[in-house]
Amino acid sequence: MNDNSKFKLGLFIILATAVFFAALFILGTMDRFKEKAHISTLVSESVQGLSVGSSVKYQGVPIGNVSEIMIYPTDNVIRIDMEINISKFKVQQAGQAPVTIPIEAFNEHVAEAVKKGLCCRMELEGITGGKYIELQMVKDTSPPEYDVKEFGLAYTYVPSQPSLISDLRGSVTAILAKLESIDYKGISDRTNAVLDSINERVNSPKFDETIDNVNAMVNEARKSIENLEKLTGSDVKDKIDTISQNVSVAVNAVESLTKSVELEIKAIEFGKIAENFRSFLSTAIRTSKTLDETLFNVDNGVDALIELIQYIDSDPASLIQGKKKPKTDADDAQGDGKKR
Amino acid sequence: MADNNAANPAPAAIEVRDLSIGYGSRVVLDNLNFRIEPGQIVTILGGSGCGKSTLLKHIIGLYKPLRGDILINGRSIVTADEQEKRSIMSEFGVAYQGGALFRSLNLAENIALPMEELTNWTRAEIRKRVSEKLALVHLNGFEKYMPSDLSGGMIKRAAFARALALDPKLLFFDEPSAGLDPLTSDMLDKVILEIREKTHATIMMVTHELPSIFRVSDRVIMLSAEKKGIVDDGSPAYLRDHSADEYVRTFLSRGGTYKSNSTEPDHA
Amino acid sequence: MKNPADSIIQCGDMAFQLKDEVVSLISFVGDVTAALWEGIRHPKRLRWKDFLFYMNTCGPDGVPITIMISALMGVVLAYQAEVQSHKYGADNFLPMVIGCTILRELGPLMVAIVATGRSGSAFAAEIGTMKISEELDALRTMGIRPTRFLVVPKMWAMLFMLPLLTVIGDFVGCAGGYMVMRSELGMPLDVFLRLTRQGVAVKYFIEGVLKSVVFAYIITMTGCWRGFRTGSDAIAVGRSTTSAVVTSILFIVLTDAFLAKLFTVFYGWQG
Repeated sequence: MNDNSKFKLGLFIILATAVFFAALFILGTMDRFKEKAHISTLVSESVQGLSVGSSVKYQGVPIGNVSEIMIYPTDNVIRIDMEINISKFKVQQAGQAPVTIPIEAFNEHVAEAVKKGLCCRMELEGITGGKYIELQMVKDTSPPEYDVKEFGLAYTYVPSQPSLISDLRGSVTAILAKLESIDYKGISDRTNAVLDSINERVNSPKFDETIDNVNAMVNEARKSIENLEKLTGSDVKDKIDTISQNVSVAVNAVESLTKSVELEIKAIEFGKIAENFRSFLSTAIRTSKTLDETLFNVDNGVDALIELIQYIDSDPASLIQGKKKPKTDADDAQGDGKKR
Repeated sequence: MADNNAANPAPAAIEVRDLSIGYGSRVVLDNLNFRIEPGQIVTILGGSGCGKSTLLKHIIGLYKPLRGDILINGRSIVTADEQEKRSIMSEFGVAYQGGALFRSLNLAENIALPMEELTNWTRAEIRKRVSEKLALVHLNGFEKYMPSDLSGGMIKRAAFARALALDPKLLFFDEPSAGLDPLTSDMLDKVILEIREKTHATIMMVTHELPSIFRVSDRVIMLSAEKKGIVDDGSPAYLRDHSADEYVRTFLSRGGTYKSNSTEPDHA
Repeated sequence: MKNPADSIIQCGDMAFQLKDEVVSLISFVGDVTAALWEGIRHPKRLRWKDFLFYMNTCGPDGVPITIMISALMGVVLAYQAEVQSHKYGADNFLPMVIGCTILRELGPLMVAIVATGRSGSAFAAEIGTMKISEELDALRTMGIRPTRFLVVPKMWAMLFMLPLLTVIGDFVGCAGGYMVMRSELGMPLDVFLRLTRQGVAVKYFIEGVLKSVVFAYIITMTGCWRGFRTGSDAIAVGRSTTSAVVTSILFIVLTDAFLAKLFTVFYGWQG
């Protein structure tokens, strides 16, 4: 082996090794030597789509990755540990380049921010169904349903908020539950009962009889008044006259009253009204049956919609890609959901 | 060494017992028995295709025989395990037909190779021994030559030198003078005799170069393809004149009557 | 017409040949591995001169063709990917696609195939020629194990050189990809680097380099094995050279598929 080839070999080995280490450096092995902070959170919803290595963002800025996902089955809680590259957190001093904050300062900052409402929530990343964890300030933080201290977390704890999709699902489910709780059947039954009883009254023969009785009574009253006029003598004519006049006045008054009653009763035309009312009622009854059916259908639709939303939540990619396994039930549900 | 043969306190250099060799089911040579005593130059002779080269390769342990045993200095090379086989092999030297020098190494390195690999000798010692061996075959001064730069005769001599590297007491030469012109062939014969004189080694050759046989061999073992075995065994001159087998007599007569320094043209 | 029995006999023969081949390969692998181990235990017994010689022939001498093939591969890959993904506006994913594909698969694979053509065939031819000229027999009768003498230096040289060649191939391939990104999309270098870093984990790079170590083992093993299996006639060396290349590429691709799965499973555990 001559000097020339020795040189060649040496050069090759040095260059290739240099490229090797440069590649390691560029591709971020150096990250391993950077200081890492850790935070943890606890969630009770499904972490479908989240995996070790999923990114963690602070108000949209990528700052780390999920390092561990654990299940505490007794509490039905999932613990997510995150590794935070604190080199993204800087302090600016006047006239100097930004400096990365020390790890203790970072932990303090997180603890402070948690008091002010810093929360983790899972967000959908792109269309692939993968998720990332977003750290952000939330105005009204609902307290967790479990005692965080029981878990004895070694890392800084950041509470979690339900993710957007689980929020959405929650609201829709609540609305639908309210809809579902309305007693459509009871309402329609009661309406029917009322209508039936009205119908019965109007149709009964007593109703016509009462009107006839009223007519007869009025006629009787007129005859009595005429007889009373004939009986009146001349002696006591004056007295009687006055009385008669008074009576006459009174009778006139009664007559006019009677007439007006008669007129009114005539004007009412009860028969016709009763007829109309009856036909209205039968329509109403028919309508009420249709209403029943409609309500039943709405009920079904609600179930299907809930199913659909749960499905989408568990596999958001299906929104774009369609369902993986064609399932007749779910298909129907989706169909129903769209129709309504 | 002679642990297995109480009747023969001095074991034969080579002893072949009931040896059958061949390829697969085809037997080439059957039921061979012979002994070669130390210090002899023995030639295995036979027509083309009678299996003499194959026999040689069995004796040096490259192939496994179908049956029988081969003892080198009293140790069986057939039944030896890998390590013992290597130990037996280090006791003999082989010069192959084409020289089989390693083309990536120069002449000195070729000869030094077995020394480097199998001994604990120092570099200086190895260098000294290499030049000794090269002097023995009249190649001193060619240390730095690559095998491709050497002529056919030189390659053969270099192969002899390499075979001698570890001072073995047993040498195998496969067709030492094949394909060489008569003068070079003569010179090789002289070298072989010189080697024997200086090292007192037993030499087993395979060749059908008759002039060479008459010049150097003490004994000829004649093989025949038809008989699948030894036809005759004895000194070349005796066999030429007195062999019971006509084939042997005819074969050896083709070599003429001379004993040495022949200018007879090469064989057909 | 051929006798049907003949075909059956032929099939049987082929099966026996195959069995012979497999047995011989396995024992050869065992032999070489034992010799390698011996070399590790006694580094003095390694043939350093041969080792350096083969380092030179397998490494620096192969750089020009490796660079050429890898660069072109990077260019072609980037161009094809760009044409497709540009339609979807996914240009920002291209550096990741190029980086991952080259570092994980194409880099090691192409470099290994080039090395098979250059070194694997050379090993087969060299050992085959040595067999025909009885040099292997000579070694054996000298009490030297041919595998230790012939295969081990080649093996070490390849095990060292092929990963380095792969590193160069990876680098040049990505550079070729960048050239396309630059000319077609006008992507600046820092953006390309940033996007590559974002999508390409360092483990992918390590994966490729580890693969190339396995490929080096396969290339040397197959090349030398074919050399040792050379027949004794004149065309045997040519045949064993061809078969060394074909067998070696076949093994490389099979192993690559297996390793791809293996690494994916491993990453599955790691995340």
